[in-house]
Amino acid sequence: MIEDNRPHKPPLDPEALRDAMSLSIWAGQMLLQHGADSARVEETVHRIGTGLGADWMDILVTSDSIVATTVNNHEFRTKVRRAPTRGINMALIDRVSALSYQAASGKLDRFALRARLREMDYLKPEYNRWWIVLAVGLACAAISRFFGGDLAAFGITFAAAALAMALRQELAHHHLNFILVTASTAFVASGLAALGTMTGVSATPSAAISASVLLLVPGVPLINGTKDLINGYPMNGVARGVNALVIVLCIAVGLSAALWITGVTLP
Amino acid sequence: MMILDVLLDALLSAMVALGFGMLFNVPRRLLLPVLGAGALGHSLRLVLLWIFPGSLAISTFIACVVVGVYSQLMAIRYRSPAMIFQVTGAIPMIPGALAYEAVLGALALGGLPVSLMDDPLNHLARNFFLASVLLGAITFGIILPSLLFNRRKPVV
Repeated sequence: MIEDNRPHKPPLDPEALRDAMSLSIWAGQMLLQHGADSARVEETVHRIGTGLGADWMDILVTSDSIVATTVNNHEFRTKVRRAPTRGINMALIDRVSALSYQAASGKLDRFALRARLREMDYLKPEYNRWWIVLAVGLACAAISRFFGGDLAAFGITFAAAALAMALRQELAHHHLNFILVTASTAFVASGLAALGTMTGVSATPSAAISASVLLLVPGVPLINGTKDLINGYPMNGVARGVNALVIVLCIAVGLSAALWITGVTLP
Repeated sequence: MMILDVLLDALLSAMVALGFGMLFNVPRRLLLPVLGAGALGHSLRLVLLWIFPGSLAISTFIACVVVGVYSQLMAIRYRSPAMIFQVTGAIPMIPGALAYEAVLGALALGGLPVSLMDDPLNHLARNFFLASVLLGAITFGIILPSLLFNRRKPVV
């Protein structure tokens, strides 16, 4: 047998090693489900696992699952966790990230970390849903100004995007498939905007119609996908890019259906 | 008049960052720097477009590098992930309209009743590559500072 001279951390008992495995991968799962990029997931899992006493961790992050191995002395554990996407939640990413640093510095032991991670399931949304409806409506209205829309287009976009956002929340609440949610939200948003511009109050109907669907733009998958490509996760980058493309396709289908029914043409 | 234009643009892009920030459940304590990221990026791009007329991609890239540096500073100041500021700062510049124009071209090629002014294939290709170049400029610009600032040894 070859003598092992590499430095090791103190040996963990089986429960401690199991917790180093399961808590670190649990935190990684939450990050991946709520919109973190692959590098952040990998680094955070590694930070928590080694913070809880593992010598090393090897982590394989895919676009919707994590496989990881903890190593301590000559003992190791491996675990697979699925992490299907659950929508963007920056507050959760912020909290879990902070927890990982506390675990790494030894401020949180495995029992405290487990309790804190469990709290994440009961995290209340930061904002009331109607405030979100209002803010998203305003955001799309602001984008209509970037597209050269006039004041009437601003108002039409605001109303159409806000109503569509309320519909989107309702549909997502009932666990409808995301493709149906996206396409029907795009249909309602652009349909309402088209109806609004048919009254002739706005001289820039196309600005209102194209801005009203932008609440659905897959900004985070696009940015994270490109980030993954740059950071050396080409598979995840491609998967996220395809995801974003599917969403864009759904938006376009909903929008062209609405234009076809109302008979409005975009110049 | 130009200053007024920039201020209006900053206000509008802060509104975009606010809407998407709330949609993405950004913590309340980070809402102000997130608004700053949105306002900074898009209005700076407007100014850069006056300096470099006709080069949207270059202006976008430079503006995004500045947003990236801003995000790094805010991440240190507020002890939170830089990605929160990066994403919300980039959102107002995401070429959503170009992307969906490209898909309209694709749908027209697929035989769906989409009315386009020019040839569908031309429409698809032009908008797709315009959107791709802008998206690459945005993302590479926004993460370039983090690639330069934290050059840690890879964890694996």
